[in-house]
Amino acid sequence: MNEEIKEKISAMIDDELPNTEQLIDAIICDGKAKAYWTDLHLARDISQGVDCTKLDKSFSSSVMLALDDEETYSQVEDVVHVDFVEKRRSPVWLRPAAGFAIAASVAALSVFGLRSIQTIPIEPKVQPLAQNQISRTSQRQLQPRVSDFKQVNNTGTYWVVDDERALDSRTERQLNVLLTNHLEFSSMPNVGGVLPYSRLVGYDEPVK
Amino acid sequence: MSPLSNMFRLKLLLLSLSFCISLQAQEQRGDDANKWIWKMSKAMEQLTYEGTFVYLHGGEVETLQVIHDSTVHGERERLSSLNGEARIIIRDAENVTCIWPGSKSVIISESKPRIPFPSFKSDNFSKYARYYKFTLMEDDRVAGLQTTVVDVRPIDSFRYGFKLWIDKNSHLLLRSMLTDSNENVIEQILFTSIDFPKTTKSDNYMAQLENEEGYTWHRVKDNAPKVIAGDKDYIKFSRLPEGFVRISESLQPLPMSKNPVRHLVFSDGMASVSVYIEFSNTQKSSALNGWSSMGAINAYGRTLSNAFVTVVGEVPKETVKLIGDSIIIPR
Repeated sequence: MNEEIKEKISAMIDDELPNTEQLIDAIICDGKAKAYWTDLHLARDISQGVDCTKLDKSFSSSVMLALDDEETYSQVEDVVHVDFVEKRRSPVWLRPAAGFAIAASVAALSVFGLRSIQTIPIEPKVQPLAQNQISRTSQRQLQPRVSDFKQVNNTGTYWVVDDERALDSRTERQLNVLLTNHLEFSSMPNVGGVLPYSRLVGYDEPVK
Repeated sequence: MSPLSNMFRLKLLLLSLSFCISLQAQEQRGDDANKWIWKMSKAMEQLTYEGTFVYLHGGEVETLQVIHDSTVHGERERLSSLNGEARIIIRDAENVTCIWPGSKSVIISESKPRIPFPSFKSDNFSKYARYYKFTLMEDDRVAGLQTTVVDVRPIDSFRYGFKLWIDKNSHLLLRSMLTDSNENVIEQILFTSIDFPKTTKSDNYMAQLENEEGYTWHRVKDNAPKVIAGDKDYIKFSRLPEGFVRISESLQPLPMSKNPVRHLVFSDGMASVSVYIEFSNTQKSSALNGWSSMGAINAYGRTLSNAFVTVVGEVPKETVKLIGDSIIIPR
């Protein structure tokens, strides 16, 4: 994050920046810019007498998360998803040298037997995460804005055919039965626990 | 030998060495990614947690709640929709119960024991890694928690890719993104809150309806699949997408089907496809003919002279169509 970005963030918080879209994109992509934006907000609130101790500790991260959502969600239509690695790519002339340097570092690590350090215990450690959790209040703020999305009604799950028509209800029910059965047999439920069932529970027919 | 040629040889040697080391480093990163997926798979199965997440798909957003615990009797899970109709799925060691208030139906079928992602045990990994590229990405934060991000990219358009955000402490999956082979996002799951209570109430896992009036209950009485041993090659396929192999074949009674349905499962280690064949010589009013989709899930149906075929899986449209069109059933 350079000084120019810092100044722009500062100007944005003071409502002095006319075009904020590019800057918001930059903040979303840059962890340091996010942190700076958070700090400035806190500083402003404190200077204005807002009692920040009453805010949930993860409030700012919730806002960041909402921003993240906003970005990735729009990618569905716009097809502008950019790989994290790609974004942080070095200049072309530097890549061979960087590649060699990384390879050499890895070789050195291998020689000194440090690979074992990277071994991570298999059994998950359960830790209470209450201090990190997002409160119900901030969680509500995380929900994407209702007006941004199609409203749903209560007519069941939603299979479509080529022209976006829904299937007849009997065929749809039959596909739901097959899908439920498939989810029990497929390998992916083991990755996501019951989460793949979201595909069944989370579909509803949009209002025509 | 001239000094120049020596220098050239040295450069060549260094270049080869760096190439080999890069390959080794790449393998190491893939292996680390594999370990994270394995740990995530175990955590999803063993931890007790309650969480709320959003499910984003095709311009829609749904808020869902998941409750999961693991006891000596096995896993218990409840997934419910917090907006729209109260669609609920309850799963325990014995049953999967689906409650659909919209169509006033409850469907109960037998659950299957889960094996935590055998593909990602180290001895199997290299076999499946041929069809995906596994990369550890830059760490990220989800719901205020530090996560390791694993990118799983397919080598062709017959399968989807994934990005998985795995909590560094609990190893729980906090965010997942399903992408096509061009990295377009198809669907996302994103936790907005997560709790790790010591226990959860048993009431959560009971199918309780506010008003049972008008509900139809479909219960599969004998859902034990009959493994087909003798005629495994009875159903043939002229062409399958690369990497997909037949992993099981059984006969199953299913709700809404008169006869037991022949069920074949194909998998490439990450994704799986089910082929359902219902033998019948009579017309069926509700059979799927052609293609249908629900987000990342695609289905393809064909009516043959003696059977109805439905292919379902979390794979692209081309994959279900290819499998469906290549099926060969003897008369």
